[in-house]
Amino acid sequence: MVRLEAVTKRFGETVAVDNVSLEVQKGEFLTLLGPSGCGKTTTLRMIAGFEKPTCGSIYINDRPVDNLPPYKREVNTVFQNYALFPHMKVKDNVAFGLRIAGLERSEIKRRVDWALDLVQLTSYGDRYPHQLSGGQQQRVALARAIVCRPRVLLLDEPLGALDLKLRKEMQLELKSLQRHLEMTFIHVTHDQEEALIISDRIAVMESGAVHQVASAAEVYEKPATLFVAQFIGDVNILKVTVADGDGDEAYVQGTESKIPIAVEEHRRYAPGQVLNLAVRPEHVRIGERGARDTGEPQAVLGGVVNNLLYLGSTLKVQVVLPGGDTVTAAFPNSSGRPEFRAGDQVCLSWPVSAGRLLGQ
Amino acid sequence: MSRKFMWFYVGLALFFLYLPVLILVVLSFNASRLNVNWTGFTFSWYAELWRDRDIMLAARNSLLVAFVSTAISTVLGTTLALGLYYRRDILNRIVDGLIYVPLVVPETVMGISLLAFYTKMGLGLGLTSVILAHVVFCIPFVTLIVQARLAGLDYHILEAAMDLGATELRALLQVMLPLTVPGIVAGGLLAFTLSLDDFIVTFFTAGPGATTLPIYIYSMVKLGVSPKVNALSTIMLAITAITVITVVFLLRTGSNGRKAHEKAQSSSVTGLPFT
Ligand SMILES: Nc1ncnc2c1ncn2[C@@H]1O[C@H](COP(=O)(O)OP(=O)(O)O)[C@@H](O)[C@H]1O
Ligand SMILES: [Mg+2]
Repeated sequence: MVRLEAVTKRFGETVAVDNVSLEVQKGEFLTLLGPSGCGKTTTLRMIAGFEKPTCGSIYINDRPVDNLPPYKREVNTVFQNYALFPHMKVKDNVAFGLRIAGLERSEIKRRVDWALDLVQLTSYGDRYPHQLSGGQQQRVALARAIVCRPRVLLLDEPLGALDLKLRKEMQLELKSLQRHLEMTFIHVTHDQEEALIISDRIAVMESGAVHQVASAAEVYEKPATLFVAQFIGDVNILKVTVADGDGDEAYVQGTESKIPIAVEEHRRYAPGQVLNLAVRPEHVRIGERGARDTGEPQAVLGGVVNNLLYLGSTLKVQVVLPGGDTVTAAFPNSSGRPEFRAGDQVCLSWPVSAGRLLGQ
Repeated sequence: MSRKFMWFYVGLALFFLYLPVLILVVLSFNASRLNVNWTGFTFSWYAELWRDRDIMLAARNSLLVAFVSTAISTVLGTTLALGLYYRRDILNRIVDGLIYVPLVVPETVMGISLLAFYTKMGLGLGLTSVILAHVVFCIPFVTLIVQARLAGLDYHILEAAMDLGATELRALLQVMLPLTVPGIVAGGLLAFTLSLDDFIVTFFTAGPGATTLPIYIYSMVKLGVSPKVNALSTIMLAITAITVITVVFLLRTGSNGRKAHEKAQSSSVTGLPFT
């Protein structure tokens, strides 16, 4: 539906978007996720036509759009600050695109009513934007964009200005709206939790580059880079040096311990290579000696309990390794209180397959 | 102590600024022809103005020049501001800088250069040349005021209009222009007052048949200040004051409306955990 081919955008010296290639499927909910300033908005604005790529091409519905102005592209945008027309009533805001398109009066009215109903603002048509709350303004912006039935809807942090509770509600609403309309959504956010909840696929960006494009589960469980692993969810990162031999074992830096590491067929590590081992806290087990689990090979490390953090649904245990690094383990509180305390010597373990090896 | 000093200072400023004006207004109602002593209240000077054909002609000229040059400069100044708003390329930045030139060129210099220019172009001096000259110095004021208004608007509004299918021109005319109206009206009213009481540029560019009020007053004063001049000045003062007050009012309500709009937006931003 939307395809970016090696798109780069420079503003003078700044490289806002760096050689990004991306394909968005029809009917897909894709999220561009990344920290502030990583080029999400710029990417969206290039798709909408407000910025021209410095190099590379953009295709919408298999048509190159590089020379099309915004008003000729079959996309509509929900702006970050809504950008409602302050001098027009809500219904006129929503009708704007339809009037430009030259639709008949009765058809405009029908579509405006449909869109306002969809965002649950049926009785607000005669108000002005400044008479609405932030959440309502956001819905008007949404209605104004979807009423035109674009092939692709672009949303730039549409929930960014809402308070937490409203935002959570709107996330689910956006998601069901997208399913209902079967419209392609490209959504931008810096909130990783929102991205995980809302998206079919997530494109994780940093410094203008796309690190990984994958489903929420894959981005979380199989991060492609160290940045992705650290940006999404909590993670323990250990520096390891690949040991001599088959490359299926590694020394954890700062300790004497050697642990087994996962070996994938297509990727072999050379002895001496320094890697980052990423392990999610929920995969780490703590036992007095060794792992209870059998079957799957385990990586085992010794350490001293430093801190227990009670977080309601989970308990986090911080264990300090001999080298000074801290490994956090997370337990659901429903599984009962563990019987160790700060200062206890414990054994950490995790399934070898749960450890992900990443370059710098 | 410092507060007392402040009041003294303010009082002094007001004294020098407004007392002469106040005296002028009072004397315009003074029955005495000699101007200094109050001998009784009268409207006769105003009535005399009305009967003075030369003065009425000058007033007619002044109003004609002011209306026409205001209309032209408001349209051109607004167009310029809108054009400069939507595209930020090098050429536009240069024009943006050049707008300020007429504001800083000494009026005498502008008057002389316009005079030389019109003469060179073979344009006879008269009302037309005065109107053209007024348009020249009014445009920057209109443009600056409209630009100030535009700067307070969210640029994304223009983009949103284009996103919804409006061409640049349509977006500017249907969305930005209505939002700019308070600025346009304020700019126009300011142009009107500037034109109405301009002396220097008019002095250089007006021909014999194109005497405006300020020029006429000047020629009257050369023969001694008559109470008629006071009356005429009072009328001009009233017109200008009303216009300027309207401008200030418009600019304020304009920005207040904007503030209300922003407030509605930012009220939702307060609970914001990020950004
Ligand atoms: N119009 C512009 N001129 C210059 N630099 C810009 C412009 N727009 C964005 N940038 C820069 O490009 C980078 C990416 O910006 P942006 O796409 O807005 O990031 P994000 O939306 O991910 O926060 C930032 O460093 C920003 O300063
Ligand atoms: Mg952004």
